[in-house]
Order: sequence, then C-alpha cells, then structure tokens
Amino acid sequence: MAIIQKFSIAFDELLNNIISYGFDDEKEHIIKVNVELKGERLIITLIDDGVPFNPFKKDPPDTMLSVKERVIGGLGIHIVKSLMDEYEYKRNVDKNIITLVKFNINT
Amino acid sequence: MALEVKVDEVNHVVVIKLAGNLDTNTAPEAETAINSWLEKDAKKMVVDLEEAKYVSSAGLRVFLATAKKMTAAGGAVIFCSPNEVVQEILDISGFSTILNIKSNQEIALNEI
Repeated sequence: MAIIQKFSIAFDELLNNIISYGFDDEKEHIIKVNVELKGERLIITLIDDGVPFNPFKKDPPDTMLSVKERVIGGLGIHIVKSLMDEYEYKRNVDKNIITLVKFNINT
Repeated sequence: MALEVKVDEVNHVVVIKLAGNLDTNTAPEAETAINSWLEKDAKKMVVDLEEAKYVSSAGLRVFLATAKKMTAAGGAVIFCSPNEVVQEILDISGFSTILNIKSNQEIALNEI
C-alpha cells in the first residue's frame, strides 16, 4: 500500500533528522512513535526529549552545515510536507512532538 | 528493511537493479555498488527501479551524485521503471526534471 511506503519515507526523513540534530549529549535517548487510527485518519506522533528542534522550520538548526547538506536536508522535509496531509510541530515542556496525519487511508 | 543490488551487463551498458528500500540505511550500499562501476570507467549505466519500493532523500542524493559523476566522466545514466510512490518522490523533489527517467528498461537501453 502506498500509505506504508509514504510513512516509511517520512520516518526515514524525520527520525534521521531528530537523531542527527536533536541531541547534544552522549546519553541514550528514546524516540517514541505513536500510531493511531481515527476512522479514516492515520495519525502518527513522534516524541523525543531532545533540544528544541522544529524540523519544519525553514532554517536548519546548524548554520555550520555545508550548502549541500542544507539543500538535501531541506529536500527531505519538503518531501514529508508533500506526502502528509497534515504535519505539525509542538514543543511541550521538555519534549518535541511531531504529528503527521493522512486522511482517507482506506480510499 | 533491506536493499538488494543486482548488476547485469547488457550490450556494454551496466544495468543496476535496486530491489527493496532505498533510504538512509541502505543508500550507502547502493552508492558503493554504483561507484565500483564508475571506477571501472563505465560510461553507460541504467539504474532500474522496478523493484524499488520507495526512495527517501538519501536515495535521491545517490541518484544526483551518480548523475553528476557520469556527466563529469562524459558518460550517461538513465533511471527507469519507477513505481507510483518513487515517481511521486521524484516529482515532489523536482528530480524528475533533473534526471533522465524512462518508464521501462527497454526504452532506457534503447536511448543510452
């Protein structure tokens, strides 16, 4: 099903982003992934306890990145935004919360 | 999830078939296989995506690097047989206008 592939791509982009830029220590961190089906809406939530980091913001967090890295990084997020019907970032106390929604997954 | 790289030579064209998922984990493997042929001075390459289930930006990066290296070496690379999801990624990213993409291997082999 295309939905599975699309979420796999979104996971690859977002999880690798979080892993690459979200943490500034050497400790073990946990990224929680919630999957919820509400009628025809598939809602996926990624929760991590890293530094405040909104991957959907235009500027990447590290301006020391090479131009090439920034272009490809921006590309991944652009793909996520295009594949998902809704996407949102929230900061809740010490957590980053990314929510992705696909509508009408059965059609 | 895994990636399998199958290589064939058809009329002096290196046909590299990528089967499975092309993402952050598996892109290096695809890149290594492709680079080994670039190092052998392959000038004609077809990257067959028929069995590629999906491609993330990591995979696109490999495609772009391959195209650039081939162009620099005076060669050509054609990508073929993207499925619906892969085609969508190629369109979203704008890579469908940057890369040479054909709907099937036969057309790709005829053009290259």
